[in-house]
Amino acid sequence: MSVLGPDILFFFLVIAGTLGITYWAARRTKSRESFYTADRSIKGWQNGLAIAGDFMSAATFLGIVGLFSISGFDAFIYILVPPFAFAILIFLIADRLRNLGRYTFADVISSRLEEKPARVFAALSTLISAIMYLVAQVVGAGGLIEVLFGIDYSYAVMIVGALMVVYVAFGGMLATTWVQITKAVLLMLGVVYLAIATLDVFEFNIEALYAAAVAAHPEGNVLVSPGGLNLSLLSAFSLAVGLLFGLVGSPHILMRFFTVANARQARVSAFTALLVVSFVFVLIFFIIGYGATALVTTNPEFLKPSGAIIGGNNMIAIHLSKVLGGEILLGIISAVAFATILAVVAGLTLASASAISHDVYARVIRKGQSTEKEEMFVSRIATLLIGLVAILLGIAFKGQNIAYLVALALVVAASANFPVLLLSIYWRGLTTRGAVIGGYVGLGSALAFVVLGPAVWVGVLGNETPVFPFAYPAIFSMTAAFVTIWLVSVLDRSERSKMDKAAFDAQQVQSLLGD
Amino acid sequence: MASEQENFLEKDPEFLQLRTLWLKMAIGFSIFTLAIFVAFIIGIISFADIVAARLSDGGVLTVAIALAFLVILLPVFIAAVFMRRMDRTIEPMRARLAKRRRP
Repeated sequence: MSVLGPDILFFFLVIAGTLGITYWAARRTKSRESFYTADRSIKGWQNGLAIAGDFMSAATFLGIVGLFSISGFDAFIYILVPPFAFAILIFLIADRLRNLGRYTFADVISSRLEEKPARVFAALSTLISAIMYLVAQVVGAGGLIEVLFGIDYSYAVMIVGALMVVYVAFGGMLATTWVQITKAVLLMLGVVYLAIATLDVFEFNIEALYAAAVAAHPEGNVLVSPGGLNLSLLSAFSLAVGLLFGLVGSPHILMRFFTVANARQARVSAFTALLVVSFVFVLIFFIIGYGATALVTTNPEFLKPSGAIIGGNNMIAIHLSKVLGGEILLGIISAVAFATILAVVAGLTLASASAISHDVYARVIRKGQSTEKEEMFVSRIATLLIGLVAILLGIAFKGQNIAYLVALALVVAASANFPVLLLSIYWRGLTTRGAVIGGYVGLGSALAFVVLGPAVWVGVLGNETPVFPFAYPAIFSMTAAFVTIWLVSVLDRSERSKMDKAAFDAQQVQSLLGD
Repeated sequence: MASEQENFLEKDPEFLQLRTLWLKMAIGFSIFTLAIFVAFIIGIISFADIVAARLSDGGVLTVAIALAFLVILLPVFIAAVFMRRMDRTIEPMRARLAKRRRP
């Protein structure tokens, strides 16, 4: 493809536009409050779009279409989870999180627990889950650049990493929010156009679309019936639980609820995100997924001699845009996808940097005595380090399916963040010791199960059989976390535990009524 | 942590009513939603062979796809009901209590 073609032009146009937004917003980011929360000036519906933009990433747009083309109907599990997760966020978390927290979810769990151990745990679990999520984004972005420019994957990842560090370092929460809103709207428009164009090819006959997809897929009916992922009931349940509660416990999503003025706006945010995500997912699953299978997987233009898709299965949606709209649509959709990845990375990096600068540096190391300037400086240094780590791991995880990587990241969030967050809000009996020990058990068991499981032990380390047989361990690691938190809290007779429990009523007032 | 005003509110009948009502709604809606979610996940796996056999007969495809479509939209409907109830019941109580807390 030509370096000066319309595809490259649109690509740079969208990137320049989002960088322009970042520049505009960065000039208004003068304080710690604005850096972390955009001065709580974001409206509920705006924040909802940003949350949707923060969530709908390479995993949704590229990874799930790719996964669908391989595994068929079972990819529906990935589609089904987010709408339910956003509903749970509305019911259980959004209001109270907004009323109890200031910048990070660690503010919530340390509102009545001992600050130092609670914040150190929250920062660690935030960093681990966010970096795993980052790896998924970098893998998607690297593959996209590789396809567009034809350069080596590793160099592509490095270019993407360098871009994202620049992008984040100059933008606080305000910049990140508006970039996410912009790309959420662009993504919605892109998905709608792809869906209409796909249906147009089949003269708006959806039965004909499904029939063509089934005919194109080597295993035919797997596209319209369950069983493609070959999951046992326990594995499917564990995958779904991990995805659902992982999304609810994702630090970069939780952090967004601190950008609105009050609890009601937090609820409106989650509801708007639910609407947007459901709309996009319906189109991706019911039209684009089938369209990509029908129109791309048998097209020699997009196949290697081995029969594999050029750029990997994650690129099927991008190839579909070329089939439907030539170089121009390819450029637009590629640019939208790339901007999407960068905006998600911005949110993840901001959440990770906040964990380091606010939770660890400002609250634990400096015990609240640091200046705003110091804290923001530390946050920017942290951004740089996180970018470097993401690049290295992005190269190491080359070839992994993005949606699968995201699932692993979410298992960590589900097992470490979610149990502690939920119980700190709702259970009077929670003590610092219970929360911290149980949280670490959730975190440690999730990581251990992932490393010893098929994804890393076999897929990355090259062993023949996994030590832990389940690819999706959330059901085990979450249970371990909840049981440990409960047991340690119940057995805790320390003076601190009495203080933790005594503070519950006052925390209830704060969580229900807010500021 | 707790101010005298907040200590007073902790025992306020309207605050206790708010706390109970909100907790009931949050837990009730969550359990209902999660039950549907779990049922569908179990359905996908447990009935895979049955669904596949029927689909191969033809004619069931449209119904299956329509059902899947509705399942995605269910959380939207449930959440909309919750939002409406919150606005009608919880928010007025909360506004009154907030005014008494910060007169």
